Amino acid sequence: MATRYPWVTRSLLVALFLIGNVVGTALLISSLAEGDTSKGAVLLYHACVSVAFLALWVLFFLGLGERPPTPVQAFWQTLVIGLVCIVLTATVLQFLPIGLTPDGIPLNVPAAISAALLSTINAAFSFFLLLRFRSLVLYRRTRKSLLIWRLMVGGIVAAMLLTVVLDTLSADWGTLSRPRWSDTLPVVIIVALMALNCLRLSWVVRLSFRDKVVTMMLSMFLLVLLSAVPVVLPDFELAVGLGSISNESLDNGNYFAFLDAYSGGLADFVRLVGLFGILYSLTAILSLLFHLPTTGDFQRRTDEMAAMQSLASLVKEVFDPAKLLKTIAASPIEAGSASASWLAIGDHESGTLEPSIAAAERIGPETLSRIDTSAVYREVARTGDPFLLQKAHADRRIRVTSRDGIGSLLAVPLSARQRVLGVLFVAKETADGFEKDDVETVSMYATQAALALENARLFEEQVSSERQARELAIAREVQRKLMPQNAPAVNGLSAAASSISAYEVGGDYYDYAELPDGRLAFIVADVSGKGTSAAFYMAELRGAFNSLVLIAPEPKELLCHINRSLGSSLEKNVFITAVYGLLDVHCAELTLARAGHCPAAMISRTGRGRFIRTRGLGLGLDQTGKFEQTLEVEQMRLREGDIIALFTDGLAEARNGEGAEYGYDRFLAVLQQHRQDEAISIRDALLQDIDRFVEQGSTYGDDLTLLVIKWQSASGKAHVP
Amino acid sequence: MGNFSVGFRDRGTVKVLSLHGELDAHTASELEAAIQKCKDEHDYRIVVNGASLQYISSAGLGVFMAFIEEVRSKGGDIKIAGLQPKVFNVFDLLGFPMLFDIVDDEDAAVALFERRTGEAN
Repeated sequence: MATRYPWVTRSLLVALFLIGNVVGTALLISSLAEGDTSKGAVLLYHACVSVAFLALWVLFFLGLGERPPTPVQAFWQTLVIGLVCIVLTATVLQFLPIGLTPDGIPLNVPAAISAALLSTINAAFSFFLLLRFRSLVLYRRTRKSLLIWRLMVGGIVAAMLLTVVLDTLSADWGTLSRPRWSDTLPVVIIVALMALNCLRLSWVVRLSFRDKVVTMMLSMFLLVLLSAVPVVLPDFELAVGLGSISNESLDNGNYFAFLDAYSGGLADFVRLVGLFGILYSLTAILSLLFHLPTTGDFQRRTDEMAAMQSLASLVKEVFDPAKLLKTIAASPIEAGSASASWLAIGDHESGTLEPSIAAAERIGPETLSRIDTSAVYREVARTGDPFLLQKAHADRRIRVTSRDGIGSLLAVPLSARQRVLGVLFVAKETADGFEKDDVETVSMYATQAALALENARLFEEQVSSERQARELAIAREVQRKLMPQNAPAVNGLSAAASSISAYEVGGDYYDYAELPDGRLAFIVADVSGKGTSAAFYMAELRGAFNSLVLIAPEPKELLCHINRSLGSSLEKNVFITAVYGLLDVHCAELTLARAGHCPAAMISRTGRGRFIRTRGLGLGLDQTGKFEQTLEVEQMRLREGDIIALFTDGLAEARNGEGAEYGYDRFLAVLQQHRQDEAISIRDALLQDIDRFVEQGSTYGDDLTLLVIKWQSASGKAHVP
Repeated sequence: MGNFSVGFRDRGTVKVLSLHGELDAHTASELEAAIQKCKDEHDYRIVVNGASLQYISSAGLGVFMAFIEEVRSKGGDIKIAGLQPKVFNVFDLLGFPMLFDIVDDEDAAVALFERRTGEAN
């Protein structure tokens, strides 16, 4: 509820405190006038005061418990609040002088109000101190520490309640006249619990040197404040002009007199909390004092641990390799293990093992290239063990001069999966600067760093292979669209084709072109090589074919044009083979030409088969005129049922697990067997047979393209108007 | 795949490269390096002995095309000898016999160079 309705809760508590305090004070004042000492009135008075201050405590608890302060803050805040309270006390006393009867009853109305105000101020300070010190005592919260703390607070509260009960029973408004219970046994127990809590000082070791000094000063001031003010302030009160009032209790130097006069219980609480504050400040001062000299050592350990943690978090930094390298190089310096450090990474891809400096901290590239640590690098890479040069100047393996600021040098390998990825160099300004611990600590970093590096590398590989896969998928789709989506719908023939790439993209190509005069042109081609480069040339070939076939569809003319147009753009070692046919559907006349390509197969209705192997150089092999001179063309008249099959060498050379090639003979045999079928069935039968041959599931070693045309009849003639 | 090697021999002023195994896209770089080495040593009279060549792909054929122009411009040549019928068929389909001297055996290829030298003399 406190968290859900903070303002409501706090307003209620403030109201409760104000009402309790005002009613209590009113009762006290009325008792002054009427001399009422009935138990009922006293009980009511103490009840009101108790409820008021309980509400104030809860208010403080809720307000201060949210964020625990640092030790410096805790002392600093307590001190400031204490000083504010002193100023407030002095101010109140200035305007509302306090005067008490020897029995501890306020002399008059202003004195009663003054007692109420001063009690509130002091109680508030006590609450604040107790809560602030609570955060210090419970810095390391264990079940035991919590128990001892609660026992102590419980003891203080019990002592307070005991006084309240005794006061009520004896119908006392105040407690001055009664013998103090605090001289008795219960207080001994409470003090013992306080002593136990005072030993809870685990926050001390974690402070930096500066913080320790500051905290020590603050706690000294606080100690003075807590122990001296109750002694000095009564004199101060007298000095500010209260001497005119006869006041024995203040003369006796009892700072808590007004508190006693207001509420004996509250006075006990304030007294005991003050005592605890004194004891705790004292032990804190001593502990801080004793821990000052060891701050450096502790700091070092802490820094090392922090650096280890930062390295562990490096694992997450794999997304930014440059930053990762920098962090690895910087860590030994942050850990205080080095005055300079750098990271050398071997070039494993080139295999030269020549290290390059991937990142450096507190040392410049000129210095690094001058001192040349490659010999040390090779040594570490070879052995896989840390390498320590305690006197860097005296060693010939590196060229260190006195102005380089390298007295001793430690080189540790960054190994992952039995492989040295790189070497981390850490240097110190003095000779013999490294201890055994340092070697271990730095080696430990190196292990972590190597893991992070390896992860970064794997991650990068993954990303780039995914990107490649994505791009190749796009390229594949683009290439698929470069080939015809449908077979041509020409009367008198059926056609079917298929092209399968060995990789995502390939260098095979086939196309049809229906010419305006009704002739059908078709081509099957193969760019030498495979993969992406072949795919680019294939795209270029398509462009050349599509534009030239409309201008010069005659086989010889077309292939010569393509040879010329591609000659300039093809690499020297790249060529294209092609077989091209032009079919006049009106007179069933087919003209074929072959440019270095594997020969087209021809099967008649009767099953007579042959390969049409005309002479012809591959495209792009020659630009001197030999291409034109040697290119042969074959012309034939088709008969009903004739089948022409164009293919690339990926088909004839498809290999099975034993290394045997599919071959021309088997191809021809399948054609003969299926010569009665439609083109599409023939194509499917051939592809199935090849699949069976290379064995199911295995991939083709080369791109494979097949184009089948079956001549049905010269019925096309009938359609000519 | 991958079982390809090139052997070097000197026959007078002629460099003989003996090819073994399968020459494809993966192994083409080895033949490239071999011919490049001849070029670096200014040996432009090259006989490629293909008697032990089991297979050649289009990428393998491309290697010859990559160098022939330059080798000829330096007064040399690449002559091909001793191809097995199946391998020769691949050269032949592409029209290589129209571009290169392809002969039956190494001696004949070397003799072609010597005859030319003799003619020059």
